[in-house]
Amino acid sequence: MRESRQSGRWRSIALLLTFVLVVAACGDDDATDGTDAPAGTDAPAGTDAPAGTDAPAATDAPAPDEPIVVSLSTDINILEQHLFRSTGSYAVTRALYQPLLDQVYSVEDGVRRGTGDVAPSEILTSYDVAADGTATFTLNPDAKFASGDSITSSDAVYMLRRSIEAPASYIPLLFPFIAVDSSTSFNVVDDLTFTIKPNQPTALFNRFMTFQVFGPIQESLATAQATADDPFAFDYFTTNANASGPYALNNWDQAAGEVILDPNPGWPGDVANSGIIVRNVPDAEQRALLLQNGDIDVAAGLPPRLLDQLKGDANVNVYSAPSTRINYIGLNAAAEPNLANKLVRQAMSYAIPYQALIDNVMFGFASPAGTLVTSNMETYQGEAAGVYTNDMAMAQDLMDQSGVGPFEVELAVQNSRAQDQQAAVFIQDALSQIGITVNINVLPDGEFSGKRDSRELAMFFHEWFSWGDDPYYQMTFLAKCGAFTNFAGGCNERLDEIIAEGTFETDPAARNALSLEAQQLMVDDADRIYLWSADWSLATQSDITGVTKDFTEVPRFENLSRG
Amino acid sequence: MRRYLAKRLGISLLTIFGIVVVVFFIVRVVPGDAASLRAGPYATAERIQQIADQYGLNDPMAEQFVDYMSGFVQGDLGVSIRTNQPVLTELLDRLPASLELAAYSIVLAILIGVPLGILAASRRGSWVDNIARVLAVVGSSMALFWLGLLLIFFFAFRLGWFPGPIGRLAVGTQPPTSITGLYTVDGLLSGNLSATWEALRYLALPVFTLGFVLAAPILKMVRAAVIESLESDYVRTAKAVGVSKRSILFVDGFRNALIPVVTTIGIVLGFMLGGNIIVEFLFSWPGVGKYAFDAISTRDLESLQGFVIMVGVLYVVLNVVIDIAYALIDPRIRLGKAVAP
Repeated sequence: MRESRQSGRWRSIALLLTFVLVVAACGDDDATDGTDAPAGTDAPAGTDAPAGTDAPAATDAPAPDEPIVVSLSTDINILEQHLFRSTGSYAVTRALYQPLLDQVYSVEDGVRRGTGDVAPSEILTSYDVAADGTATFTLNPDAKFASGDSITSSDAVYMLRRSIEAPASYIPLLFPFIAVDSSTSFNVVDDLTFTIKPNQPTALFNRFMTFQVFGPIQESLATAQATADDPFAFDYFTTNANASGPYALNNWDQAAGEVILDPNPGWPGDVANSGIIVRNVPDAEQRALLLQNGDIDVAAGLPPRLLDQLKGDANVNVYSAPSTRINYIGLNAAAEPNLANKLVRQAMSYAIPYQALIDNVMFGFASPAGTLVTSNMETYQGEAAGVYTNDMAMAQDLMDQSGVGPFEVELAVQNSRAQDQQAAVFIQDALSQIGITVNINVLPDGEFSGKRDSRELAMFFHEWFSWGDDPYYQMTFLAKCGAFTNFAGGCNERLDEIIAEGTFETDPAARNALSLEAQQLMVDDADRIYLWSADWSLATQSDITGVTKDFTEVPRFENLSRG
Repeated sequence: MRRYLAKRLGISLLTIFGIVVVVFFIVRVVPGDAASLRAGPYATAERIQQIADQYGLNDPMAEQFVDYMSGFVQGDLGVSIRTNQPVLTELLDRLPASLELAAYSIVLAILIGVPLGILAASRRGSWVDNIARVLAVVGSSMALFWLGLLLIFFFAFRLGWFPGPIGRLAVGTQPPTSITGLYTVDGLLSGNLSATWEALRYLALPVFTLGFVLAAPILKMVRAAVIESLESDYVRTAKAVGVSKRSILFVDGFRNALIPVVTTIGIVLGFMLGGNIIVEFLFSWPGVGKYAFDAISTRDLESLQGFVIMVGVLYVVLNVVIDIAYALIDPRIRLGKAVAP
């Protein structure tokens, strides 16, 4: 009896071992190469082995006229262009609504990069600005909505009026930057001509007119769909669109997170593909694998680690370009009294291993940040401003001068941001060397943003990107005293004055000088630890061309094509 | 039986009321102003006030509760902060995807767990029992996320046997005509067999992920319950009077073990209906779990509240069904008194 039990046990063990060996045999020879990430997350690493990519992609290449499949990290929640929405929605609404102006592009490393110059977009034939700042726009008579109706100046002015008057619209936030405070600034001249008359000329006017939120909406349709409670038909346009942009909405399956876009027959410009399918794949690892497998053509929102791995795959192109994005750690003195001491904040800024973070956490997909005026932003003068570099001796010296003894502080990190979690470990180690014990607290995204918004977090990661690449616009949100998004909570009255002045300054030299002073103040205040400026990036199948990066960094579809 | 059912339904309605009350008040004590959340990050104080008035957020709590309940009984679960759409509509749009996934997963879990549990119980200490116990331990300790990742990596990307984790159907594929919302069933009903086949292919990996892990508690419960039955006096008596081994196992052993087994299956099914957020996220599965994940990520409290209430109601309904099953399995329950076995 005992013998029989023992032999049964051995049989079980043998079977189990066989199972493990079979699983192991199916494994990837290269799985241990590359990263030292946990086993569960380094799965994509293995797929860079050409032998393993006997996947359908290689054999079932899509026909050139098939729609291009774009996968985004978020779902598409709202199509109304004047409401806040997910990043996926911004990509779709950019395809549906064409702004009045567009950037001038130059191709660099395979990417159409927007320059600082602007030109009339396809829906205009001309654009002119008078000395007093009045802008005159003339619409292209061939430009039509997806319904086939012509785009008129009434439609364009209705869109402008709606954006400033509708209670739910967030666009009134933008108008102060272009010195417009009421809809009386917008005037119809004739069917194809209209004007915008700001209170004064501004540096940002041209840039703002390239934003998708200034794409015409058909007035007659909006009026027909309006109700007493919803006079601008926001409810209707939340789920419907009569496109003025390069694409028309074919289908939106909200539950499946899929949008099908067809070229807009009324679009006067060129569309390089037969259509776009946008599909939400929330997990970045799966998006990367689906791209390698040929299931999708374009993957957006991939973290640096995956981008680095994809660079080794011959079937995939990884595009990246410097951005004005800013990644920083907010130092909130309201939540941690020791952070009220400027010398402590400066010491912390000196202790950070900036280059190590760029190399090991961002895998090179980042530039030094400097300050809120990042190293790739117009008017950046980091050296003159004395931006922080890693200097432990200086850090220790400043800590000693501060009179603050060793203390503990919590560093909050978003659950969804792996790179921030990795960076937190580097920062924890660096700050421990000057007597600051950092406790890393990984929070669910919703809880993180809730606590950050209510200023409960002492130290927290934050990534910010301002459309338009403008230093004063960026500083308004993140550094102005009392601004909702000044999460670090610092306040410098002189900086506020500089921001106010620089926003409307049109002379480049004066803007430069003001910006330098602002950068010096931000370095001295050290309200934030400016970690890095993450690159813009996009990964595509190797036969996809026409990748575009504009002021907004929202994926653009109309130039994408196969081969 | 009718009285038993009436009693169970009465208790269920009270339970649902309790769930709604608790969820309503929990959502309102969560930090963060609902009007500010809805207005967006840069809203003016005037706009926030306007929204608060529009949604009655400044009304006394009791008044808000009455309004909410009157909406609830009419099927109004509020409007999503994230999408501006009615929460109930959004949940109902996504429920079939979750139901289809849960249904196939529970079938697979039962197909693995029940026969293996009976077999293991009938051959205690044998190699079959050992394998069953190893599987139970592996299944119990295996994280859904991890198993899902392994399956995706090997079977979708390395071997190419199954499609990648991109939802219920291939990108751009037209779903079958909607009748039940379950693609495999709708494909059959509408004669679109290729849609059914494709839907099954996309279901395979998430179903196996859930089915394998959830087979473990069923297996353990079946094994333990059948062993207990087989060691009971009435089975010993049956053996003594010469009842066949098969009859003892399936009639005396398994049938008498059904109550705890049905309970476990009910718990597992309830978990699948509301708790497969991870699997839905991983496989881009457009069900209520992914909806809840998106709601949590964006602090969409209205949607989250609707999701919790819906899952609560589903649990209650499931419990009623289980109670009815108890009554059918065991006459003592429907008679409400002890009956000698």
